[in-house]
Amino acid sequence: MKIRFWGIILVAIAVSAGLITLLGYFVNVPVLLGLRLQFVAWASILAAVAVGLGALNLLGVHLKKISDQSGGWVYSIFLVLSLLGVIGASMAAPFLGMGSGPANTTNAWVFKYIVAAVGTALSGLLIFFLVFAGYRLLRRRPSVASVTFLIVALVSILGMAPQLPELPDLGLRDLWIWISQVPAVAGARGVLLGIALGVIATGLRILLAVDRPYGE
Amino acid sequence: MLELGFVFLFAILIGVFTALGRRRGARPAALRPVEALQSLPDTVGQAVETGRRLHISLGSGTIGEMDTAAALAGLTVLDQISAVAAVSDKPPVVTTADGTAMFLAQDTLRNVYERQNASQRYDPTSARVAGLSPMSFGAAVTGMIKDESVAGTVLVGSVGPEAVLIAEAGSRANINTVAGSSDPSAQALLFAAADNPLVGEDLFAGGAYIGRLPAHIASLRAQDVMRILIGLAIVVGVIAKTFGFLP
Repeated sequence: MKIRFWGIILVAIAVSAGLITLLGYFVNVPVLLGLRLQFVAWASILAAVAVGLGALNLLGVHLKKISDQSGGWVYSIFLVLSLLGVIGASMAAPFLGMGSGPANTTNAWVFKYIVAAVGTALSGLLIFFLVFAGYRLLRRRPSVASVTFLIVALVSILGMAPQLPELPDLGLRDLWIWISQVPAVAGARGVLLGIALGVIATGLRILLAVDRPYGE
Repeated sequence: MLELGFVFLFAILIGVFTALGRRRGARPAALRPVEALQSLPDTVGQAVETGRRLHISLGSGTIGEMDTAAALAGLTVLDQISAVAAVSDKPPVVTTADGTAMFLAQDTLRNVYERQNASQRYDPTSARVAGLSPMSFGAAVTGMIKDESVAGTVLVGSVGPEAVLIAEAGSRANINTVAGSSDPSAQALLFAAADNPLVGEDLFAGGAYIGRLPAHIASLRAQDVMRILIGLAIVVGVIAKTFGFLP
């Protein structure tokens, strides 16, 4: 009975906060606007705390992996050392005259020369994965949609490529421009409309307390 | 106020369709076949039978921002799937790139085990932050699929180009990958890379298809009605603009 009582209280708090925030967007009443901003500010603080706890969870999972020596545990050692190293360097930066706060020189160096560089290298690999994925798509799901997808992808790649003056103009660039401006935009808007309706429906189910991701 | 009216109409439609779906003698709703969602029971069954883990990912989006609804749709799928997959020797593993989503996933998993009177089997590290940035998340999940003997991946949430890495890892491990994202460009990538891509609003239909939840089926019907109304409004607007009735 105690659990049920707390469940009702939780639902009441969540639904009220949701409705006030929603109304704060649509109705021009100063009290609602103030409450909305306050709720959003609290949510931002909680989200920031959750990022820190997420990092602790990451550390905990990888320490357990090292302790159990489960698959890929050697990589976990690198992760733990890197995590602790970056935190340590960031904390020591103000004492070494390298600035303070999140934008200190140490953090900036790590982001510029390690995080951004590795992220960009990984992004560069995606094109190769996509070429293989396109090849497998034809073998796995040969259909009108998959053939259309591959033809459009091919036309787009060739249409975007630099035009060599020695080669005849096959009109691929014009075709690519038409595809990207007419059918692609129409399709993207249709998909976005469906996603927007899905987002609103999901939000409303939570506001109506049908879905309760905050506990039973 | 037009926007508020739109939201109220949507809410009323969900309420009406839920009531109609719950009344006695109501016929079971006929849903159009979605291959990706229909493949889920086989994937879950395979995970249970082979004693391997099912991997459910909520993507790299952040709760509290634009990606919230997609992550919540992922939580609904997690709740439905883990109720079945929890009986496996190895519990399902949930990955995200956001601390808040991790807490919600842990809470969902704990509730599933409590409902099954198996709280002692709940492992908090089953729901984890794989990486704190989209690319590190994608790279970490790629390694996890290989290392943790995953039997299938279900990715429902907001995810960017890193989705290709996850789908590719699934393909190399020869496992089924059901994946959808609220990002249209990632949807295009997943169409090529994933075994079973979720296209458009299919991402939000998990609760209706897997659990046959009346409110979720009702919200699908409400979405269809609203889509028709918006379509009509666009056509009327175009005609009015063409003939000069609108500035």
